[in-house]
Amino acid sequence: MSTQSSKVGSVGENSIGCSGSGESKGKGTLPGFVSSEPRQTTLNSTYKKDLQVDVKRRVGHFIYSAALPFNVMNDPYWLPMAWAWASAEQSVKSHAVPSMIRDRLGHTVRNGPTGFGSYLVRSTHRSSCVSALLLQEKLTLAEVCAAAVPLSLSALRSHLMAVLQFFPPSSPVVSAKLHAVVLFNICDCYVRRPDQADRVIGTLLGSVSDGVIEIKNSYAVPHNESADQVALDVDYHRNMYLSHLKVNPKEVLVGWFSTGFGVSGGSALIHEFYVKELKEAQSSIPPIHLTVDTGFKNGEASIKGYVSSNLSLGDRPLAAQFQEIPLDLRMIEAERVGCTNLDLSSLNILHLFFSNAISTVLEHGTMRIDFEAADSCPLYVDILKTTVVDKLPNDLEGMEASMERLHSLLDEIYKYVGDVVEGRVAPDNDIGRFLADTLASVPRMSPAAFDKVFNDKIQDNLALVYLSSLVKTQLGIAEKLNTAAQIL
Amino acid sequence: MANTMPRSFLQAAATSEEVAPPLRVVQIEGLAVLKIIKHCNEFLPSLVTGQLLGLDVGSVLEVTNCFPFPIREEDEEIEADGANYQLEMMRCLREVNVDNNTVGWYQSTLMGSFQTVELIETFMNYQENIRRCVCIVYDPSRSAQGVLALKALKLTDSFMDLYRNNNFTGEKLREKNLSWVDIFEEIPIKVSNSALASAFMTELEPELPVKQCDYDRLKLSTAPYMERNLEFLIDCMEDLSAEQNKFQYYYRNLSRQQAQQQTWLQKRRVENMARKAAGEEPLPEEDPANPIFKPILEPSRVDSYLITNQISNYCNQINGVATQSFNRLYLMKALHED
Repeated sequence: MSTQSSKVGSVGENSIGCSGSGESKGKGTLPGFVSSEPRQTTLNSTYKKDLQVDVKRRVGHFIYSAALPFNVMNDPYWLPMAWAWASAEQSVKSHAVPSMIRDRLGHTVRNGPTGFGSYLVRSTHRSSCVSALLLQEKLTLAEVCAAAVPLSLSALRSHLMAVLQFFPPSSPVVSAKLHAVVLFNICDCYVRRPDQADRVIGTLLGSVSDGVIEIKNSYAVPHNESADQVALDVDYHRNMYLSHLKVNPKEVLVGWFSTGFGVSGGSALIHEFYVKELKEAQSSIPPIHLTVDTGFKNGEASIKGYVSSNLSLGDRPLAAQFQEIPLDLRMIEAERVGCTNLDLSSLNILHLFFSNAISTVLEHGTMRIDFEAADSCPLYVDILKTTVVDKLPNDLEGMEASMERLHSLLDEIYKYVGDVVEGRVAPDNDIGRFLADTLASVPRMSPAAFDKVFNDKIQDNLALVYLSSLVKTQLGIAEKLNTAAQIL
Repeated sequence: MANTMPRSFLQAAATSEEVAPPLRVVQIEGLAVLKIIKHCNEFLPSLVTGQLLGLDVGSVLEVTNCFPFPIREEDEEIEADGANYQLEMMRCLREVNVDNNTVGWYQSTLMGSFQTVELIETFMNYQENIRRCVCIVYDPSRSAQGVLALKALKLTDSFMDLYRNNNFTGEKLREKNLSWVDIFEEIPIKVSNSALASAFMTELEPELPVKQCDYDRLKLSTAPYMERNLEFLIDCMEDLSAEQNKFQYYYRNLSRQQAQQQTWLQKRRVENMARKAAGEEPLPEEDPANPIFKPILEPSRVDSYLITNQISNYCNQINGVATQSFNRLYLMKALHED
């Protein structure tokens, strides 16, 4: 960075024609006898030192207060602007320059592209007027960085106080967990939506802890959407919210959902509404926006969660930037009922883990996600996968299925080990270690001890079975006696 | 020929009274199942209830949605609130096109001990308004053993008739040949899902060979569950013996009363004969004012039937768990032999 800026400095130096620091450019035989360090004091160093320091301070402060990255000076627009400034400085009165800059800046703000890219552009425009000063004084970037001292850049400052504020999500929201109930509810609402509606919108309920939002429940809210406006039935939303609160006061409003891919313009408005609702409830968490792509765009199901942060220029809100947050699909512990189905395909569930990329590119942009299957989180219900399950299996059938699966697992492992031994498959140390651990965890007991334990258990179980059959027989007899014995 | 001709309005109206086909299957949507599970588990260990919504189609009762009831305190004013809540929920759900039709209710239970008089009474209440209703019972503790413990229950018609007449003497029961198994009728459950939901699920869950339920089922420690089951069983046995004692008491009283009546009758007869001999009018042979003629009420058998049901339930559960553990034990043995 510093080399770059010094290059700038040197170019400017050549063109402007001031004798800068007096570096000798010749490469003759003389340097052998003469030191290359100029020891002669330059005009600049004597008379303009104060000025230089002042400018350094000012520029440093400007960059610091505007939260600009210090390498804005490496921006391609820096130099041309500096030139323009420098030449304007000579032909235009100094007090007029700030207004010129302001107009130029205002024009850009009003008509320029929104988004972070243009943010850079705008900031460069602003900073380039200061950069001209830098050029003139041939300050290095390093010096500027080192000299972030408050200064009174009043003329420029008054117009540039309305800096573009970028609020990073200072909220503690880091990720979200989605319960399967919510997903099913959303699908159901989508299937039942009125004919003219394109998508479904509704409220999400849940709880927040440690920056993780857990979405536990949801309900759909009727809405009307046309090209330019969105209307949401607020009364309905409030009524349902109160009703739900009666059942479970701990499930509070955490956000809203919509079906359909991506985030649209209308969504920002709806999001505003939910922000207001949450503010009323005096909650400190920002609402989360969930999109469920029911159209299966791109041929795959995508469920994304967003948190929005506002970009605003002073009082004027510019854009709402939706940032994606990692989303975790899971079922609550107790939903892990395993029923196998006719198709016995056994599954395990995984986290959907989206990479935690904060989108800095576009307004509503999100990075394309890759999800990695974290290791198995328990919980899945097979019966929820297919369209129809004819019969809920009982104990015995379930047991049978489990055993079959275990058997197939063992077969696979056996095959794998055989392959490795014969060299067909490259051995994976981790798997090997894991297998060794598993085998070692089988408790070692002498056959006699094991037999004893085993027999004891079997006897206990038999006793229980005997008892229960006895009781049932007794019931049968008693009942016969009770009703049949009407002696009188 | 009459079949092909369009029926006249009268005929159509006349045949609208035909009896609906008996309920064979209850078809629940995955959404309703998940909601029930979630609600019941959230509020463990207290028991909760909720309402089922759906459609009644031929011999299949479809349950498409449900909503939970708030926990009611024993307070009179909350009664109205409860009704309001229900109406409000139904209305709101109607607006989003959810089936607005009540088809029953669900409740959670503890170790399968749900056969109570309240259940029967709720059934009667519902039956007055709705032609066909079911009660879905979910047992969270049993689900932790690895099986989805969801049952759909219905009162049998014959039992309902008897209950309505509040007539539970032994005679009537014998007439109808009704025993304790006939109180509740369990209906098989079928789970269905919309295509969209199943598409999502299939997409989001890749296949892996082992599921958590397998871990649950293959767990060797069943002792706590069995212990609780046995405890409940023992309690029930005590209740049953108390009931039987009641019956015994009743019978003893009845026979004693009969004996007293007989002796009194004898005395009267002797008196009458004496009067006849003396030429006076004979006294009536019956004397309703005499307390020994007061009929003793036979205790209702409903309670004992219910208790019997519960006991059999526990026994079944124990049997099931014992079989499972047998399997597991033999598996362990095979594993250990290597």
